[in-house]
Amino acid sequence: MTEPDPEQELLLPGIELPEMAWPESPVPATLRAALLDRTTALVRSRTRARRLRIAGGWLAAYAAGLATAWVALSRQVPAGQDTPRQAAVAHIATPAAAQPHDTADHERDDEEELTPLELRRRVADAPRPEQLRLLRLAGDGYLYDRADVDSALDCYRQILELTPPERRGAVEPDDSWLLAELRLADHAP
Amino acid sequence: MTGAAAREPDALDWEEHALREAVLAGHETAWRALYERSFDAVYAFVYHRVGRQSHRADDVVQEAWLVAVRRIAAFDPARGNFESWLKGIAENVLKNHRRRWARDARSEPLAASGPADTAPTEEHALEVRELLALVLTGLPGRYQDVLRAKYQEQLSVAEIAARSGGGTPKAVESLLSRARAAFRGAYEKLTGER
Repeated sequence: MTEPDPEQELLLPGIELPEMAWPESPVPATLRAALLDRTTALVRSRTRARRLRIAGGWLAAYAAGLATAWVALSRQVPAGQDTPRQAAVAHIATPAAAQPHDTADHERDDEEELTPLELRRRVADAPRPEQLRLLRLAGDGYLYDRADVDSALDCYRQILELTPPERRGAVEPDDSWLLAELRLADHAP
Repeated sequence: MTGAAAREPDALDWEEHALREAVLAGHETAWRALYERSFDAVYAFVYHRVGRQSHRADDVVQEAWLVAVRRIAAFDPARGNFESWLKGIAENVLKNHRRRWARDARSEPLAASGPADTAPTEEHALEVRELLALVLTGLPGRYQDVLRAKYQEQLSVAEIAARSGGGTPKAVESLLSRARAAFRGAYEKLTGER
């Protein structure tokens, strides 16, 4: 039995649908916009609740720190010795010598003027580490400047394809929220 | 057709997993991306199931999306894509609404308007069209896109691949084959139920 030609195969064998107008449904633009606002507000309230939980955690940690300091201070300290608090203050007052600035930063001011598409065009001719950097810049541009998640996903997907498998799941400090989630999703069990 | 049409399902699951996590972390842009991807397909799915009555479709779609945003944590991309998950929610909402509409109809006096007078051939065409709509809107978006491109716009496999941006003709062929099989399965199921 021969394979049917994919270019000629009917949608329903034995039934021709040549003049069939394909079903269309009206796009209710008002409902679409209103519902997007309403559901986005729910996502926003979830963010607020999450921030409140985080703030609550920090407050609890701060209170625990204060309580620990209070307990430490209330102990009898021998004369001539610093209390834990004084030792901590002295440590803070004498910070390590300032780190010299990294002078190896490349001069890439012109890239800030480029659109994500122009950045992507540079990828093909660039060496591997440079490709990853350019794709990251382009992806971030799509995500933050244009809110174009699909194009950002295209760039980030290429980053993961170019990254060795053992390093794909490692979230880097410069990763956008979307790239970080993609890395985690890629390595999810 | 969206760029997603020629992508492999795995890539979509993986992306939707990332978008779901981002929504749970409170990123509005991620939610907007999921919303924009699925709104039209879910609306069309509901619209044809309520007999093309916009006011009923609006109510059902609205409730389905509100349920979805509240229950997004329950969405598992490994078990199906976001659009299918949402259609499942819409289907359940629709069942509840149908019960209410049936109750309301029993309590109301018989409506004076009957079915519209239409010629038999026209009636048959409408019926087939309705059937096609029900089958098509029940399919995942990427299947709908590729079937429309092939059978409505009459594009060749190569043209569909070129338009999808990055998809190969082989990938489109494979997607088209899966979409056709899904369409036929859904068509047979629906005609068997009627």
